[in-house]
Amino acid sequence: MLIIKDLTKHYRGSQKGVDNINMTVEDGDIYGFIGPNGAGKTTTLKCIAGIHSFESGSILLDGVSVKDEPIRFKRMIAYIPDDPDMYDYLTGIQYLNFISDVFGVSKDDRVSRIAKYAEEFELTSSLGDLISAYSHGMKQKLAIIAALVHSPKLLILDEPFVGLDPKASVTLKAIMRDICSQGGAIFFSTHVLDVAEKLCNKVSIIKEGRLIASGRMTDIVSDGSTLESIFMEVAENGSSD
Amino acid sequence: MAAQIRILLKLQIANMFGLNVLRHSKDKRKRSSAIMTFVAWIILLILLFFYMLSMAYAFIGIGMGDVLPLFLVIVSVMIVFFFAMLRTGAVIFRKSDYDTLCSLPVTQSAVVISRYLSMYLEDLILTAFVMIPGLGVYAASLHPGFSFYLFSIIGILLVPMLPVALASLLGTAIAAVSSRMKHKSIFGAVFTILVVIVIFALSYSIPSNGSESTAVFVSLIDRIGNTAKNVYPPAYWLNSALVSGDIWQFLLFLAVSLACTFAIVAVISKYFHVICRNLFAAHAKHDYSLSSDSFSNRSVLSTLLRREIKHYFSSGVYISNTIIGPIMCVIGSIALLVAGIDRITASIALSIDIPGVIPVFLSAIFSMMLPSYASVSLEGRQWWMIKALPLRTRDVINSKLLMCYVLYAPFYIISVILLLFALKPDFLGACFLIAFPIVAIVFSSVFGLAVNLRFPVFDWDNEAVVVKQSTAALIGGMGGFLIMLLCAALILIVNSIPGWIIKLSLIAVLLTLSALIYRKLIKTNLLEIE
Repeated sequence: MLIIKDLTKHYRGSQKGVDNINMTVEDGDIYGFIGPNGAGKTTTLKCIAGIHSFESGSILLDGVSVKDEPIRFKRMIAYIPDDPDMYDYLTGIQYLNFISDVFGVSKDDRVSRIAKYAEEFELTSSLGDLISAYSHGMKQKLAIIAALVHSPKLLILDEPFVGLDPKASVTLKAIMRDICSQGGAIFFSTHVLDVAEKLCNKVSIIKEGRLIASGRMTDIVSDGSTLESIFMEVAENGSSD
Repeated sequence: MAAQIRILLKLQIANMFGLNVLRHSKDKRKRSSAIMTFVAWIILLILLFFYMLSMAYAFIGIGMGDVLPLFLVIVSVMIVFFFAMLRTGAVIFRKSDYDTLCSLPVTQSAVVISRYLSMYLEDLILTAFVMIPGLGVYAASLHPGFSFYLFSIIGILLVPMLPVALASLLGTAIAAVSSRMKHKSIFGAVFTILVVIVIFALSYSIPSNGSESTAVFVSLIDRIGNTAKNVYPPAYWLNSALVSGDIWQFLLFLAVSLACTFAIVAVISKYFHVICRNLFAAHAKHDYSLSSDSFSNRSVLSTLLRREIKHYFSSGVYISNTIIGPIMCVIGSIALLVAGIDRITASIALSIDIPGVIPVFLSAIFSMMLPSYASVSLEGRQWWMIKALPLRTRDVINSKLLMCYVLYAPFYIISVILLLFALKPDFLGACFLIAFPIVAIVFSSVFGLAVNLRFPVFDWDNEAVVVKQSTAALIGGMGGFLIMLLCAALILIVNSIPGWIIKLSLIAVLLTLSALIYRKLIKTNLLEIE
């Protein structure tokens, strides 16, 4: 279970950042994180992924703090950024082996997982090519496979569907559901609201660094409204009430 | 097209020396890094200014004022050509904004000219700091006429034009040849290094008997002048114009500089897209199939080191700037073995312990531009991965340092073996020859890495910015070299203490400093490095 408590992060010399964020992602959750551009989604995700340090608050996964035990924490998660800048000078398979080595994935596990996910994302034939030759979508697929190779307990994704072809999107959604059915959890940001509405059981809306709505999808989207209408309302007024 | 060139050049100038960050960034860390870069450049230029001032006074003092402008032009041309040569591929054929520029309504000539001009402007500053103090001393001492001042002002503007164009042409030829090869960056780097070595060899082939007497020095300058007249006539033409007020020689210099530059830029413009397309083309086969050979288990350190090595060999400008030192060490060692230490000692004609100080000079060259000074910055936009993965700082640091040692080990071994035969030192001398370069490389690598972590640059669009122009390149890349020169000076100057005590003390001090810096490095919070 991921518990984010009173998370506050500001960038040096800037007012931008996030203020007092509180969230809980339970095992089995597919948790959507939505908000306008510059609202603080990526900042929050990067704090959870251990990329950004933060001034106050805590982020715990199964009781392990990202601040106090970053290595142990990061072993349990995987993070995929919105624009996966990977090592262009490696081939796809070299990159996957690199990630597997860092996470200490056994040879048997990496053989079965890489083969399985590369096949599902139709990337096997390109694994011998340099990443610099990949399209954006192929890089996105490679980043997803790399994220899954160590079977993370929590998958953090920033705009995961951008750049993916329709088939890969369907595959990713199936994998997300599969991870959750096995007790894992997904926390992801997206601008594709109808996907979030259909896929997520929980959602949070962030605006100007503050959470303005948070909870079960069924509680937030009710009475014939859609996530889109709720989002537009909170984006305009700052509240769903 | 002039408007297009102006707009594109403006864009590049904004990024030059971190000026835009200095003006607009609200991030204190970035601003302080930009200020440091700026200050480091200013200090370097001031040092160059005073060095050239003293050289100019020396020329006037020995009555060689009439060849002083020639000497200034030769020094400028060599500096400009050397620096332009090492970065021309990365600047002219920059990949980062290629697609964007192609989609804009600008001609390829405008792109090439704006990139050429950005190199020219940087080199013009260097030229000015070489020429102005020297010409100033000339004017103050010899009181030339009006034409001298007119030709000087225009001459300073023209001097870097041709060497930058020639370096660009050579860089283009190298890029064109390497673009046809699979391992483009490695071939590009090898060709660049070969050209630089040939130029070095040519410059050393100028006859010299090394004696310090004024008469021989005068005759040496004379011979350099004659060589320059044959090898680089424009320098001679400008000298004649400045010294004798010969307007025809000046017009010849002006016409050749402008005509050659325009011709070269036109040639580069013509082949720009073809070379870029080949250079940036990625060989994708799409025929891979997984087998048991596809998978290999490695330790974290081993996999990080492997990644560092692959990263290193993927960047031509990184290779060519960092491998020249070790190659020079091997070439120097071979030369010493062939020429013999007795001949070298006799030719220097100074009562100093040449064999005793050679290991320190070798170390100085090894310490120049060790890869660690740029290895953090070169992570660029991929730095997020080091932060996101469950990696210990110790492993990241060790992999970057090990990369330096793996790369330099063969050059070190070859150089030391050659020098053992060339110098035939006694037991203590042999120990020093073997130990000191190792200590120097260790010190310079940790020093360079520490400087790079203090002044990282991740948002670059051209590797040359990090490898050649960053604060880390100036301080971290050259710091080790300068400290080794200081060590050499200590060994040469301090005579009141036995030499072996000084050498042992230097080893102890450098090892202690290395250990202290390393301890600090492995405690770095990499999350704070941005």
